[in-house]
Amino acid sequence: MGKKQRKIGKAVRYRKAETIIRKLAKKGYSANKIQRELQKRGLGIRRKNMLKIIRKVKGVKKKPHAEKYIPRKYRARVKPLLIGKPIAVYGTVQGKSRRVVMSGTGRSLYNAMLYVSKHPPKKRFLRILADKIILFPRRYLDFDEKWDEHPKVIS
Amino acid sequence: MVLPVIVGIDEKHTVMVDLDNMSFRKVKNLAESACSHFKLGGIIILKSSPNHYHVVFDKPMRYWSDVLRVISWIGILADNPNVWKWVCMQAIKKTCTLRVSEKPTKNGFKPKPRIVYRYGSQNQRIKAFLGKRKEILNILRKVKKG
Repeated sequence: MGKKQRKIGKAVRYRKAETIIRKLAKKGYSANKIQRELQKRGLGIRRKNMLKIIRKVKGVKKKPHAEKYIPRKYRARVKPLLIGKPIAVYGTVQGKSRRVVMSGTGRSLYNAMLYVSKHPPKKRFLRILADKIILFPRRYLDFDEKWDEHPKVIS
Repeated sequence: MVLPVIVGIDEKHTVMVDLDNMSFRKVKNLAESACSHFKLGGIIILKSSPNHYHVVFDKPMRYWSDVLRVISWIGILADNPNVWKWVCMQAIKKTCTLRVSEKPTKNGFKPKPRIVYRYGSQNQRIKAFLGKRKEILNILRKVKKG
């Protein structure tokens, strides 16, 4: 039976790896070669940290838009577009168009719609969170005016 | 009961077009050619009233400039002043808006747009659009009841 290898702690591994990286980087090894060498010795560390040390040894700065040098399949996935739920409520007041664009959860949109369907906004174009309309309806909506019955607007 | 306001979906990352005064055949050809030219995945056509159609494309766009590029291209090919007017309005607002609710008019009201044609993939922005549409229609139903 072979001798059981003792597991090295992360801090020790990083310290040992750093000395090797410095030595090999000075010799002019590429990052990929250094990484392979470290893996052989059981001292694999994060590539990001390894590159940081190599850059320090070589005295170069990180390139702008570093992502474009990583093959596409290895790139970190861009988060899917964070798309809210803005809804546009529009109509006319005395022939002039008014529009409210509200965003929020379904519940807050419903509660805001109760106000907005009756009263037009004070401003002609209002982009706002639905919760704000619920909290301060009189600040944003004109309670003295009403929407026209037959609006003629372009969406 | 019809509300005095019009409710629509406001979107910056989805290519949506309002094609007025156009036959269904022309709308379909235009939408499919835009879909293949810009690789937009799939389309959905909604009929808002006779000869008035809405088109929604499936591929999400990260930037508004990309969306504007597509809708302007469609506007030029459509050769229709109503579409040009609509595209200019969207460029001013920096978002695309399509009606979801009914629209009150002098002679009654226009019904809510309904789906008449589907083509290609439907599981990105079209799925989101239809989900949002459903949610808005539910809200409106509750508002009318209350």
